[in-house]
Amino acid sequence: MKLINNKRYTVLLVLGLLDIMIGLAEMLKIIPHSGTTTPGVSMMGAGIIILILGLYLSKTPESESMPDERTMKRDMKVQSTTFGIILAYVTVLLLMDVSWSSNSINMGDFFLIFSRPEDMSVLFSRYMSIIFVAIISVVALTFYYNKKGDLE
Amino acid sequence: MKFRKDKYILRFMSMSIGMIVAGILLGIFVPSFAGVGLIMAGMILSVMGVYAATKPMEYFMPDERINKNTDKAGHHAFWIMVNVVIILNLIDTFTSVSIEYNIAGLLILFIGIYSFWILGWFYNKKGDLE
Repeated sequence: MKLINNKRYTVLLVLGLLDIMIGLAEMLKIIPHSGTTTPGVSMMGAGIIILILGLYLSKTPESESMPDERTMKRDMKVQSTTFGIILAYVTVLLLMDVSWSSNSINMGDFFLIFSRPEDMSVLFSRYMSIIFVAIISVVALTFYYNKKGDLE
Repeated sequence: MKFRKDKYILRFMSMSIGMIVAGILLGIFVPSFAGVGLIMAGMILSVMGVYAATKPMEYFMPDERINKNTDKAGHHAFWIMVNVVIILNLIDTFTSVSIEYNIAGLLILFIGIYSFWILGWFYNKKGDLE
């Protein structure tokens, strides 16, 4: 069985291996870092996922792995709609932040996640919440447009 | 001059007038810039609504090319914005630099909106949207 039949996916394999090596070097303290959280484990995890993806895609024929026109149209519509959702979400977060920092609106501890990000800084930071909203929107909208059918 | 009075215009105008009323109430009870911002946004939307009411409905219906253009520009702007958020998150989490969301949020908004405009203009000029 030929392992790599598409040169494009070798980039993924190299990227995955590089990610794992940087993660290992970080965990073995070869690369110093000044942050509070160690990125080694997450880099290794991402590297393993990219490596598996690259291996899978390099084994499948190009005609199967390349998206058709309908899929491309759907993805563009989904990502264009998600772009609007993220813009609205970032604006709402910004307004909430400004309101809280100027003490014009006191919500107490109701929105603990957003009012005191240092409590759950890694999992529920504002940036992570934006990425989370983006992922959920993409999945939900892909499902919706797939079911809807006509993409005009 | 004839004004349209269909549900779309009525909904739009009621929203904009509602924003002005909410801004006035917010300005009275909670003194902040948010009230002024709401009033200004409501006034801009009201002017837009009056302008839109003078045009026929068909004037605002986008054709297939414009739809494709918007989708393509939105698709690329989405990836640019997500990458900016991921980079900001990595800097915030893994380095000693702490980025205030007040600044980062504005940066994300500006990059997103401007990349969408510039890409929309670019694909409009480019012509073939394949």
